Amino acid sequence: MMKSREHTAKVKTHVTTTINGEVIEFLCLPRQSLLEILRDELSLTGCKEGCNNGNCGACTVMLNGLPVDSCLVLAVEAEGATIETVEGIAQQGQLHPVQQCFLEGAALQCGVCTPGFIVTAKALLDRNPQPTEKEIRFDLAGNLCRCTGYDKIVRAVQSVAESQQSS
Amino acid sequence: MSTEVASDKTQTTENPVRYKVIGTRPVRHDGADKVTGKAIYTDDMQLPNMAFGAFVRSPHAHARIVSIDTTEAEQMPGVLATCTSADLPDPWDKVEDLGEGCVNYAHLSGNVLARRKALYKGHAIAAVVATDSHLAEEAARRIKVEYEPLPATMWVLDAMREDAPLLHDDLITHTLGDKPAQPSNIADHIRFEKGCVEEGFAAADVVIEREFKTASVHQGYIEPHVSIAMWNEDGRLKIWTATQGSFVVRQQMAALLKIPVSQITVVPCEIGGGFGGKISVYEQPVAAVLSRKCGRPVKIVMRRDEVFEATGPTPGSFMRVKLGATKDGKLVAGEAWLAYDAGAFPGGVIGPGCMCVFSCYDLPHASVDGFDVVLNKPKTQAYRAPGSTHVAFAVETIIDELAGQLEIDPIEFRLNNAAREGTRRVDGPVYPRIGLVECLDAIRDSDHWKSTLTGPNRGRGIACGFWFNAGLKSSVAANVNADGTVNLIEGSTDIGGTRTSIAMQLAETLGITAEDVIPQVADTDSVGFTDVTGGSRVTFSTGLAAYHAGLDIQRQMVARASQIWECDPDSITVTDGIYKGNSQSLSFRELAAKVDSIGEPIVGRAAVNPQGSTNAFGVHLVDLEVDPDTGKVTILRYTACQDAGKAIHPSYVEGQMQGGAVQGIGWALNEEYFYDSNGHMRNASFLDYRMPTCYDLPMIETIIVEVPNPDHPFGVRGVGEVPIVPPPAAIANGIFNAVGQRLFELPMSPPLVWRAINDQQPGE
Amino acid sequence: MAIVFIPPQLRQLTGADQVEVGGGTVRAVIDQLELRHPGVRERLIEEGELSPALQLSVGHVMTRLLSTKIASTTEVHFLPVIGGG
Repeated sequence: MMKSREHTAKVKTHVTTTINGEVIEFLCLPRQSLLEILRDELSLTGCKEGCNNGNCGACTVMLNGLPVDSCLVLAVEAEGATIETVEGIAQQGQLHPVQQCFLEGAALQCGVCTPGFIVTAKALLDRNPQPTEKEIRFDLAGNLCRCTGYDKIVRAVQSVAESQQSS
Repeated sequence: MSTEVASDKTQTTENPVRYKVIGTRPVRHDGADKVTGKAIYTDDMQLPNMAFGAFVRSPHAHARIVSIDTTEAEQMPGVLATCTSADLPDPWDKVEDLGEGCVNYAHLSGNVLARRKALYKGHAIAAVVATDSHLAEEAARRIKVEYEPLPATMWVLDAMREDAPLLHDDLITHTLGDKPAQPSNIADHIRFEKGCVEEGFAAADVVIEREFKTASVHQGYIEPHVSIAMWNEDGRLKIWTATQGSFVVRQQMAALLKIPVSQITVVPCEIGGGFGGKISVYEQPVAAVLSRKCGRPVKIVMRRDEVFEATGPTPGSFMRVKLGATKDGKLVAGEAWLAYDAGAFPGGVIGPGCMCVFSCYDLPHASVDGFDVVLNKPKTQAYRAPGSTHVAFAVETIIDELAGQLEIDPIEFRLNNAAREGTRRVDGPVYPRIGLVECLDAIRDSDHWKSTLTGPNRGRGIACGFWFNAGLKSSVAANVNADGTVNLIEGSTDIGGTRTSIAMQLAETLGITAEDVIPQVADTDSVGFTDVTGGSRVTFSTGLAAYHAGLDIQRQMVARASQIWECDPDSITVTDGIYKGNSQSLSFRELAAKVDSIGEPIVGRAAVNPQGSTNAFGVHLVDLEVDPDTGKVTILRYTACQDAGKAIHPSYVEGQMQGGAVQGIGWALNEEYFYDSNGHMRNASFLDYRMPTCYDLPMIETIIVEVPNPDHPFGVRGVGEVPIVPPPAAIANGIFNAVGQRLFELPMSPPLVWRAINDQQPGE
Repeated sequence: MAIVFIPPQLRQLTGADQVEVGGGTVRAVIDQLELRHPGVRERLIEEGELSPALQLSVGHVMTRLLSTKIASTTEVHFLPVIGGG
């Protein structure tokens, strides 16, 4: 029994998934998180490891249309899934409005939490294009920032909403 | 250093200059990389053949290390090497000035890898390197360490007792007075006196004395400590690391490994927050030793619990403060007795604590006694205005109480006693031009102050704060390109957008746009010595260097123009980047294009070491609501006002004020190291070490006051640190205003607030 | 001529809280102080340099260099080292 369990733990699983619109294949051990595979195997280092136990949101990616902490997702769960990371948000050399508003609004300082916020904020705005301040703060509560005090992050999301309303 | 300058650029209160670049809000140069995930932080780096290190850490808060057995780990396939303190050279018995405080290398070495004793839970005992990170962690678990547990001391007053278990048998209190004969846990005793306190208190109509306690808190940067070391066979050591000071890392590595600085290159990658916690080395020397042993680059990333347990939180403290005032509201005397954690090794932040305690006020008579105390917690480090938040919590609470008793408006009370230019500090020096009064005025004139707060259990609180800010060394070089752009090479690691504010100062000096300056943070081989990014010094000091490099470029450009126009260089004028001479005129860009074909390249350089404090003051105002059923405090409205001297990039000045204020709010309401009776931190994760989230806060309003710093051509004062100082006191005063209960302990977490409202003692 | 503010813990040696001392540099001033009040120097200087626990405020300048020049009527203060974060 012990021998076969150990054996299973060391056998890699082949996973086929879609990341930022591209079909990707990788091998992973059962215990490896999606975060680890994205960063270490696929060199998609935009998402960051801040805590590895789902409390800071720096590793946020979209999984089947929902923002998730990729440190809490096993890599094997990516089989057949659709994943979007921060690398897929700018399209054809153009920054997404969320990214542009973060830059213009100075909504980042050290920038390490920024990819996670960009993914979460875009997910919010895709679902709810005119969120209230409270809704913005609620949706972003799973992303920790230690530098900005959140003020300019919230304002950046508001300015995306405003610009989309007037357009 | 030449002082020639277009005098139209120098900012003074009497002659405020309107700038073209300074005061605008350009998009930061590194911004696109950061919003697209392209920016390279240290953990994003992969080197060929890279191996991974992991630590073995003490499970005990205090223990003798009896033996370390690495054999089982070393036999695991994929494990490449192990190391202990035996692999570090015997430390220099040396203390070195690292620019921002001195470091004792014996202590630093002992903190990096324990010698003889584990002094706190999480203290690094050994390390292992393997072909992957999971294997390294498994191998670390197979390293067998035998300990003899010892009694641990976790509270500063307990550690000061004569019968307290000693951490270091040879620690004799440092004091300028007579040294004690016996060792103790008291590493330092500092004392200040001004006037005569007995006389002062005798003249007071009201005297209030209070005791305060604060818990350890962590800087909480989202990026953990991470480094990659590559020690090559030719003896050259290259370190990629998340650091606030690449040169300071180089100095520490050279001293700990006993190799020349010339053999070491430190490459600062983008850094995910520091706040003072990423200056001292932790994993860097270990990664280096492991790399030398296995012949491969070695990456070590700290886990989040390791960051909490084994890096450098700010001290917990006990403070007794007494203030006396006349019935007209004039402060006459102050007394402070302050005991701060040093953590496991001496060298905590009690010094600045003693210097900040009465720094906002003009006190004719005062005395301060401060104690640096070792105990079984991780060695403390700087956390944004280190030591100042603690004493502001104490003093501003008592000021509030005095004003209340004397029925004087809290702003009036502070204005009547505020430190100004010419006020003599309790520690001795006299203030130059400072902006506390202007900040108090600005708060009094603010919408927030004028607004009415209504509703049950709601209250308003106000508090002041101070931090010195440093100058220290910075070097820059700047190369003019043929298209009129300038490459700016500087050494200040960029934690918050400083490469842009430095570029803006160069741009302003040259009369070009911020976008035409391309700033780059370079490694220790590529730029001149630059002190840490910390101490609120970068915009001031590295900016000053950029300004002087700009003047250097300008001189060279003038010389070249005089060749082109065949006129005397002294006849050429430069205004806003337009060069005029001999009835001709060229913009910087046009001249740059011309000079590319004649003469040497134009390279500007400057190295500065400004030696003064830029003296930052802040005043914060908070409206809050207390839930009487749970003790939870909700921040309703928050305004931070601060004297920035001159805001180079106002968005980033606002950002510093907001970020610091929110850290202070977390410190005030929730954050603490929760230790159990074994001296183990029970909340070493972001779940239970509860930092503010987006949902906990309102917008943070900011008011930037500009009282120009006379020691900088644009008037810049450092801004990064002082915003963390006022929040706990402002919130404590707000809670009193809301529910009539004063709290004297941080954090003012819901259980504490609830007990105070329900009139219970802590622990009931 | 420096006006040296004597740290409180040293006043038992100097008897005063401020002392006027001649000397062109901080080092010279400390040497003069030592002549008048023996025992002061060893509290302030270690191995020929300023004690690692101290920094100087000379006029408005913060420094650790004993070679710092003293202009006339400059105030000299001995302060703890501070580091920011």
